[in-house]
Amino acid sequence: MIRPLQVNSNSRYAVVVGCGRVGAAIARGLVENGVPVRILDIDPNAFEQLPRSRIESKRITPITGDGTLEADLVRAGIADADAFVAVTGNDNVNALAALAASSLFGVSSALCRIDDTDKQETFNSLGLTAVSATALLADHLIDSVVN
Amino acid sequence: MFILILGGGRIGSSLAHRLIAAGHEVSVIEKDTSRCSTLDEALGSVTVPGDGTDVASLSTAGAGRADVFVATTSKDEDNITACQLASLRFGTPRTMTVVNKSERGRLVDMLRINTSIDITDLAVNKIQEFLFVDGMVQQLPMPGDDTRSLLVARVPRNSAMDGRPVSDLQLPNGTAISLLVGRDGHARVPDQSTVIRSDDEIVAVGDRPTHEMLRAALVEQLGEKE
Repeated sequence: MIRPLQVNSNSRYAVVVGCGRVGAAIARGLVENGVPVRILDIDPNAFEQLPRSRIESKRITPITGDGTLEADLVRAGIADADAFVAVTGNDNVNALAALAASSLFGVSSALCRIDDTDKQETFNSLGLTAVSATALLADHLIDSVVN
Repeated sequence: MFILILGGGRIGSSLAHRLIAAGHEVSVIEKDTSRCSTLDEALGSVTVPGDGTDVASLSTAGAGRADVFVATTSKDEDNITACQLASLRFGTPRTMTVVNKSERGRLVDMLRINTSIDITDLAVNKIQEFLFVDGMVQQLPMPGDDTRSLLVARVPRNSAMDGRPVSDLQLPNGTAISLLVGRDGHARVPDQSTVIRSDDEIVAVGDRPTHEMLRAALVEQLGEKE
């Protein structure tokens, strides 16, 4: 079961690693719910899919950097973040970013996208919250078929 | 011993060659099938083609009975994930990983990985061995023991310690000079009254908490006279 992100409109900000379709959608959704976002990606072109108005109003701050490296996480302000989400297209990168956030910066229940469900248990046992996009989609579809 | 290696690149394949030559059982998990066939031709069937960061490949490769798991790919995220799976999922008693980006050293030390090898650090240390110059203290690993290392220093010409006894050296508590190699190549175990000469080589053993202090003490005190 996924624990909800502990964020509300008083939150300082969330750090999101990976600005693909999922990362960009999470950033938009968090901002719509009043949570500012700092989003990291190694490719600056990835930020083109973020809503320009949100960047101009500084609700979303794009940061070019590697979310698995301590120095880049510091640049993104990880120490004062209320939530952490790693959602690149690579399970192992997400796990490493979340391990860095939790081990080096004490972020509790760092969320990471781990599509390979066989690996989830291992990362959950390390204190991360591993979420599989495919499993979520399957659950959702099964729900809508059964109900 | 049965050693399971992740990655059949330069490091992984050389390691496999040496371990097999030493009589050990080896499996190499490698994604690239052409690398797998090259290795299999040279060493017999040792490879398991696949992504060593998934549970199924690790299981097929025998992670459950491996004595040691060694991750050698150029991707730290793959090495680290594989080590976590080997240790937590398969109970592999000993895991080791190559660290490609030195910045990750601090994180890797906090994870459940027994030994990490920073390849940049290793290369620089090796270069330093050949660049052995006055005032530089060289650090060599103790075989099979990653908590201790050997420190070797050459006493420079005009060293402030030239002609003075070992007892004049102020070394961190719990450390000592183990061996003094004279310029004639003759090694002796020094006592407090042994006199240090320029061009002598000093060998000391340091453990992890003290070797940086010991290195700094040697560099400072063996330095040239003002």
